[in-house]
Amino acid sequence: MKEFESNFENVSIELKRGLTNLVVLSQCKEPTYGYELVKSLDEKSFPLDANTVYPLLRRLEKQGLLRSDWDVITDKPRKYYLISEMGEVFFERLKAQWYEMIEIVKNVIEE
Amino acid sequence: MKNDLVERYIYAVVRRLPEKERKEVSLEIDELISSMLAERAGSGESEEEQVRAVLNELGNPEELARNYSNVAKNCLIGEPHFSLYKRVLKIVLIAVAGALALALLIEWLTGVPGGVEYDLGGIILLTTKGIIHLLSTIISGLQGAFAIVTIIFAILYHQGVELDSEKFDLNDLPELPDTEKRTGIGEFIVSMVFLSIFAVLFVVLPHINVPGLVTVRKWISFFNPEVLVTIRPLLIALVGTALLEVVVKMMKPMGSLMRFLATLLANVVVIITLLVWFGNPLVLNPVFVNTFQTDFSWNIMGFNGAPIVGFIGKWAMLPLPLMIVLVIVIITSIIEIVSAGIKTAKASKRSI
Repeated sequence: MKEFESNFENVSIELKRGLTNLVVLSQCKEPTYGYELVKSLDEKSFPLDANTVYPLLRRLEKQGLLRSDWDVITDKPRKYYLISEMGEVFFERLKAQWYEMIEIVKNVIEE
Repeated sequence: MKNDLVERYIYAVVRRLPEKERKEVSLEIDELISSMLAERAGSGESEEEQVRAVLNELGNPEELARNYSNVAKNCLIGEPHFSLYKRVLKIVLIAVAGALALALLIEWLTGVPGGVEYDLGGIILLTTKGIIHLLSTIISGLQGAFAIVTIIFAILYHQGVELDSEKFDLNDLPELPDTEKRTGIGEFIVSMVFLSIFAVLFVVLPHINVPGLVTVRKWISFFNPEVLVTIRPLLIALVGTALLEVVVKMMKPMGSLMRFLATLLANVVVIITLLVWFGNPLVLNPVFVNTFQTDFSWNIMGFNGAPIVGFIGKWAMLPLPLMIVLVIVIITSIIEIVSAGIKTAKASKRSI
């Protein structure tokens, strides 16, 4: 039973992992910093650990999908992320594919 | 002042990342931890408790580092096995090299053909031959150890064997490296005192070198003064390079190239001096040993287990305690060279 639970947990994490890029990109239409994103995703019932979000933001930035700026005006410097033009295109395409996939998978598993 | 635990946590993450990533990622994690701490403010916990709670929530720094680094999955050995592999490999290689060096040194010292009095040239030739044999054996030994450890870890990784290193304890976080550390004035003074005593007893006044025997008639030195006179240039070099090392250690921080070169030079001179000095068949003062045996009727045993007689000896005629001291000093010198080398290599890697 314990093994069943842990297997389920692993598969569930895998399923979610594929969607994190889509979800995170969707939240960067306005400048946002890492911890703010962690909190807001938590409120929206798509919780992601900070130790996943921070490296992911950095990777998306390296891929050119996000842009970043350090806000050093306040006494606590924060790195704000915003989706880039390329990121917008990427996001729209990924979103379309996701909707399409929902339909396909629904057909497959409910037939 | 920044919390030490936070700094150590950040260091534990970024030290596994490429050099150019470290600064930025440090700032990011620092920001994350501040945000998480700000949220906990006013929870009634002490600052220390808050920091510990936040870091535990963030989880294993190794995992965070892995999330930051894009390690390819289709490799011979990947994470989390690779981190452990590097650690194990380092330990195994050092152990194999140390054990082989010790075994060979003993074999070589005991195997030197006896009965012949070596001149300085002969001793240097033998030493060179010994060092070449030592190096080639150690290198082939290291190759074997490397191959075995690598194969074991490749199998573990591809079989997906789980490792305990997934769990972590905040108290196990590594200490921050102290690159600015220099030798203090206390150590400098102690070194100078010892060097001065050594220089006086063995270089300036070899006839009263210690330890010795005070008899009714006169002071009898333990080491043969004639030999000390022959190797005087080496002893002067030894004192000189040791002095240089002490001074450089005062001036340069840990990990600087100058410091490594000074350590290398000083220790190489120590090893050569000891091999030449103790390799001399007449290293012990014949008068000392004679007096010891006649006055105290106590035989000094040689390294080969037989009592020393006649004192026209060879390696095997060295008393066992002296042999042990010789081996320990030589190994210590080698370890000092290697550890200074590692520190310098690490420091130069950090500063790139």
